[in-house]
Amino acid sequence: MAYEELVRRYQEVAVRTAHVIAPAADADDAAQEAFVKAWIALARFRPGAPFRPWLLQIVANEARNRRRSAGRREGLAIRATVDRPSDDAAPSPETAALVAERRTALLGAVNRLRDEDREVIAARYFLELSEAETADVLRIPRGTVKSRLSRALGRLRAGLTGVEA
Amino acid sequence: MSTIELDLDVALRELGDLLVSPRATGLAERVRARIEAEQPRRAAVPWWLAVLGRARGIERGPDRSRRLRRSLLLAVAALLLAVAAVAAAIGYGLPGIRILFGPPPSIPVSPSVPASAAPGAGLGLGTALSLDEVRDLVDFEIALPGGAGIGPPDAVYLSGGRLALAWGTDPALPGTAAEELGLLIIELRATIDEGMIEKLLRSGTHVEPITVDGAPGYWIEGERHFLAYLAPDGTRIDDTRREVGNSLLWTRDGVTYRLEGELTRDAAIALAETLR
Repeated sequence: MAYEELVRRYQEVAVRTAHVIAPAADADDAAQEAFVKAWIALARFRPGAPFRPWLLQIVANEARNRRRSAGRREGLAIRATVDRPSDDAAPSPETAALVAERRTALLGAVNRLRDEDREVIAARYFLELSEAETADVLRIPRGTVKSRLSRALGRLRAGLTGVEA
Repeated sequence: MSTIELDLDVALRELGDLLVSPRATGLAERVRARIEAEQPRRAAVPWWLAVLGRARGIERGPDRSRRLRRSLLLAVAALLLAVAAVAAAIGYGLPGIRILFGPPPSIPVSPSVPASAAPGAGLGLGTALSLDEVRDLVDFEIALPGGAGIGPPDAVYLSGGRLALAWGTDPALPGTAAEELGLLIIELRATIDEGMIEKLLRSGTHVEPITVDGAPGYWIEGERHFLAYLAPDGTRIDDTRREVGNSLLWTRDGVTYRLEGELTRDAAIALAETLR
């Protein structure tokens, strides 16, 4: 089945998208459901249009539905391995601790953002989607991506000030 | 951009690289299993629909070239049949729709009735989904009847962008040609780009031009008839491979609606006008 090739190509970004949109939900399950739905709706996909944003839009919807039903809020987390200093840039234990502390503060502030703000930040920074892709995936006009991102960053900065000071 | 903003920019990108991210282990296999499990429910989707899906170029693979070639040959055969049927038919024009009178399709109709509780499940209407789910999957606003005594549909099916809303039998509903169905509404995006919709009817079926809230349409009454669409490439696609009874067909804002039920013309139009 050639659709399987498409699934393989986009599965990592699909699962990651589902995860950043709904960290508490089962991202793998949301991605699976989204791929099945995309297959069902394949006839609606316009040949020549980019497949990735179309797919991720379905993924994002699945994830949002699960976020609503999951009820609880569980934030994004940092991989356990990051506290180990890398070989070529091994900082002093003090510096490493400071970096880790700042990172944790930033992550906490991201997790405290409301869903709408976190989604746009996640799309642009964590999924590294273009502005156009972000607009497609979040189903908002392109201009709204800019304004929403700017407001989200403002609120993120405000959420950090207490920690940064 | 201030230093603080720049720092935040960089810090967020770094954070993105360090986030815990679930792995997609075995996802492709599970999706394939799910799709294969969906297939029997789409059993009535005929082979040339699969051809169309493949011909979209998205599923093409080198290992399929022989099957594809065979499928294309079959598609050409279907196209020739369709052309013959069209040539023998008398056409009515609607924006995006043409109703044709002609002989019934030569493809045999096989009544498939798998045991299932959901109304319409055995009619090859597509994959059963919830109303909320299909809202995400179709690119038009789904219209529901607002008539007294008609609640939300009991079952919703989607097949390649064609939506079917099915109600079970109920005293408040008119009943349809299919025993377990009280009412069936089909909605699909039909634009000139997506091709012309064809409806092949047995000769002798009564067809009358009508309007639904000013939108052009047809009332089709009398003998049960077959439905067929014409794909953009000219290939004929049987919609359901089943016979339907009285039906009302109309288009509004690029969406085609079909209401099936044992209703009088005026009652069907009145019900159609409650769709919102």
